[in-house]
Amino acid sequence: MKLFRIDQEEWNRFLESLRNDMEVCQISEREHPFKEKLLPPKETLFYYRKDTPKQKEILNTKKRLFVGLSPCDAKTKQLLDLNFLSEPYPDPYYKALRDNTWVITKACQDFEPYCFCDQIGDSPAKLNGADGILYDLGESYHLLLDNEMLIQKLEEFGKSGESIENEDSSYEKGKIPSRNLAPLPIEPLKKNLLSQINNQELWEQIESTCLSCGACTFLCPACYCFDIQDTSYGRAGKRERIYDSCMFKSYTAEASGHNPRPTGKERWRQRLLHKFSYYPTLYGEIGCTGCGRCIKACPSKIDIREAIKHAAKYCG
Amino acid sequence: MQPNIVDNPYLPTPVRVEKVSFESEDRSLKTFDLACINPEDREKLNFMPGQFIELSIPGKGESPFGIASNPTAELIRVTVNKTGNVTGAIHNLCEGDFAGIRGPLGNWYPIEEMKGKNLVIISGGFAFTTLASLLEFVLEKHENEVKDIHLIYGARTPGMLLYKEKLQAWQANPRIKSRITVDREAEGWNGLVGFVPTIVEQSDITPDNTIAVVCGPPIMIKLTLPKLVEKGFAKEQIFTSLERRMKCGLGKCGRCNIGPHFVCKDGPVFSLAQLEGLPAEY
Repeated sequence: MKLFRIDQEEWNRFLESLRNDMEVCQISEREHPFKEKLLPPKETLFYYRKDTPKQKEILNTKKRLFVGLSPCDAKTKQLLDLNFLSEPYPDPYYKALRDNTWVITKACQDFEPYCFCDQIGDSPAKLNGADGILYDLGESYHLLLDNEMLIQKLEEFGKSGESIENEDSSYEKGKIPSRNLAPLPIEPLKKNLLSQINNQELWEQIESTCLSCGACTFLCPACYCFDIQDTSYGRAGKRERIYDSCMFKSYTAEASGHNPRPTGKERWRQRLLHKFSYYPTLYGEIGCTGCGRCIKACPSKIDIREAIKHAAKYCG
Repeated sequence: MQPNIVDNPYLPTPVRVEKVSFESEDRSLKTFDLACINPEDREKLNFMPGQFIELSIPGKGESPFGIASNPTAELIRVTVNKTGNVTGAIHNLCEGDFAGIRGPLGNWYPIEEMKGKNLVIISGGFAFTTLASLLEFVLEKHENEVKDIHLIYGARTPGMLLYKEKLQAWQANPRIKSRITVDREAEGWNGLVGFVPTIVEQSDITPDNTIAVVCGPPIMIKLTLPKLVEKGFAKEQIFTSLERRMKCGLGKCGRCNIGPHFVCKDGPVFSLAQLEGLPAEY
């Protein structure tokens, strides 16, 4: 891990120099989650022909560097890794994309109205597994790099950095926003939410205004559920995976007509349990980065912070 | 014998339909025997009883099916109920057509645990598929290690019973105490009449040193389990194979979870003890 001091003009020239080796994308908007770069909304798995058993798989190995995204979005990679790289079936499509993707985030200088990373134990200036993080010092940046390839490139570019023990070491980080909000009661959910599976009252109250539109899950950096579909053009075609959502009735509907999650109650129960019980049970991490996109996008103004607080009342 | 794991688990292995036959009198069930187009692929598909495959029709999609053949047999057998788009397309397959299969997927029946114990197989309707594979495999490979074998299998009518030739052989096999039943009296039927839970209740099976495997429609399972509990079976002794809507079959796409377990990857075989305290979403 090395810390570099770099001014804006040098930084832009450095990014320009990288374009010979990789695609460099600057991300300045927060509307779309970074997960779209690692798990595209629509991704071709392979091409087939109906008249021969031959098929052609598509693995995307283009090298890409993403710069400027929020630190919470870097967590996407950590959280998706847990599902997609898990044994016994590491996902070859996800692996190809993520192994060729580098991420340099930019520490947030302000909270957005819906953000809550500080309420789930994170901070808007954490590395979160990114390859680097930029701290805005006004005229220049502090750039902390945690990736040998990028460190080497920057040194070849002519900058020299200072070795740093870890991201918590003392160095100038510019303005880091802080506010005094109570942490959300995540621990009780991790421990006891599963015991509330038959608490009809709890799930009814949480989902009563939900439209099952799925906006929350499509924008969630930690939601990854997908459908697999075939698209044909005459005798040729492709098999694709596309986003799906546990908020949709069709998600679990079986051909026989049976549906194990027939109403919004079961579907909201699944969403909350997956994030705050199953993910911690399986991987030790909650499936939430605190980005707040689900709150901002919800047409019914359902606020997951409120859902967490509400559920925690029953979880002791 | 251990099942294999392939490099790109989304890519189907090409197979040729060797044989198609109607399995039930109402023609809703068809059995397909599939051969690998590239013979070297067969080893990749080595499986254990209870595992399933995704059968893939280019342009239509894929659906999961429990494997009904003996793992030692060359051909891979599935029995398909025509209910939706994909199963409709599968029913249109003819001998010589090609399709794709992905697998083997999921876990398998606890065959190691069955050694030195009595085995009770309870099934209803067309959920008998993977249990037929289990029974054939146990008889071939572990006949001397498993003690008493009970088979309780029921269908609505005699014409809805699966794998009739094999059933006849098993009924004649002195190693198996078989009770084949149909829901109602039928012309030409001399066997048992009654629902599976009732037959289980009336049978002499005991929990002593026994493993019970139960597969069938939800209503049959719901009514059969209390009968086993009444007889003194513990939740650790009862295994069932669950079905859910699936896509990837690899524990990735998310939809088939029951609590933190995925039916496709951690199941489909679960003991009742494993399902305790989890949402009954099956």
